[in-house]
Amino acid sequence: MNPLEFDIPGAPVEVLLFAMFSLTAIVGALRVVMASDPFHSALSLLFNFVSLGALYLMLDQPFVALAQILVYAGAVVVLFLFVIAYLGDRRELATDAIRLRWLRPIAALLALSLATLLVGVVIASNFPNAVQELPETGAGFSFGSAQAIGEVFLTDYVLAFEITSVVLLVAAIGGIILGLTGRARHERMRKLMQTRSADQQKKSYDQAAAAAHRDRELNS
Amino acid sequence: MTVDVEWFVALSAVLFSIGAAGVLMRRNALVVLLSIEIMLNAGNLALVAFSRTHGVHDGQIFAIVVMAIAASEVVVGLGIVVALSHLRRELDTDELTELHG
Repeated sequence: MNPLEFDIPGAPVEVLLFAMFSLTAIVGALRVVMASDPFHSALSLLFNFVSLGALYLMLDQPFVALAQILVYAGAVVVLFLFVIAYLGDRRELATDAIRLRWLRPIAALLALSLATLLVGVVIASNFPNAVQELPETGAGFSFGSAQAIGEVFLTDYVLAFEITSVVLLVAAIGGIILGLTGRARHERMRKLMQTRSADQQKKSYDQAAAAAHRDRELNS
Repeated sequence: MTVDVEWFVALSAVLFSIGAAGVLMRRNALVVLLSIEIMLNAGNLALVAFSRTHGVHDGQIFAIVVMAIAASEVVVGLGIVVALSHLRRELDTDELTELHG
């Protein structure tokens, strides 16, 4: 017998868990949108991500749940918190524009109608019931395990796997380039682009040095 | 599975709408990025729910690829935010009109 199965009439423990985690997910998401301090927003996002990870576990998919916790709660939120702490002066960040204030109720109304539409479509549509017996993969790994995901990822979806790795590499390089500032950025960009030949570079350096010399003589 | 897939998809729709509301209503570039993360996660939840319904792994593969793309998007987005904060003090999406958008 499953140790989690309490005897609550009309409310199996799964329903209770779903209610709890969906509530924390929705409250976390609402706090992200409502909080005036970006720091609070990022921390509320953590709640949202962790409850989504729990929901993935309820859907019998431990690997995706683990990836969710590792990638989102472990990396993305920490990166956000780092940047918010680095930028500092949170009060200035928190100020929202006075301009275009009248557009906000319209935006809220749009979002609300989108929610009504989507939920209405979900209720109206007839989804098939979930399969009771979870299938194993060709090599006999159980559903949702890391081995099964690896098997499918490296056979049927190997092109997506490779393209994803290239995208991650490009994003990492882009992050480094965007993060460089001032002189370091200038030097790096010139080295990367190599727009000017060595002769032209030397000529422009000589010109700049001559101009500086002239300025010094004029000033003295 | 006692909880029907409808509930998961409805939750994902609600979360997506909350994220969309954040993108539309907030003018702080950081909070807009956070709201985009909520929307991506809502999409992931729907993918994973349908993957469980049909008992196939494709939805999970999509979800993992979406996670990788979301991580790249965060890196580039936060890089732009940091670069902007060096150029000028504010991060208000209404004030950033250099591209005349």
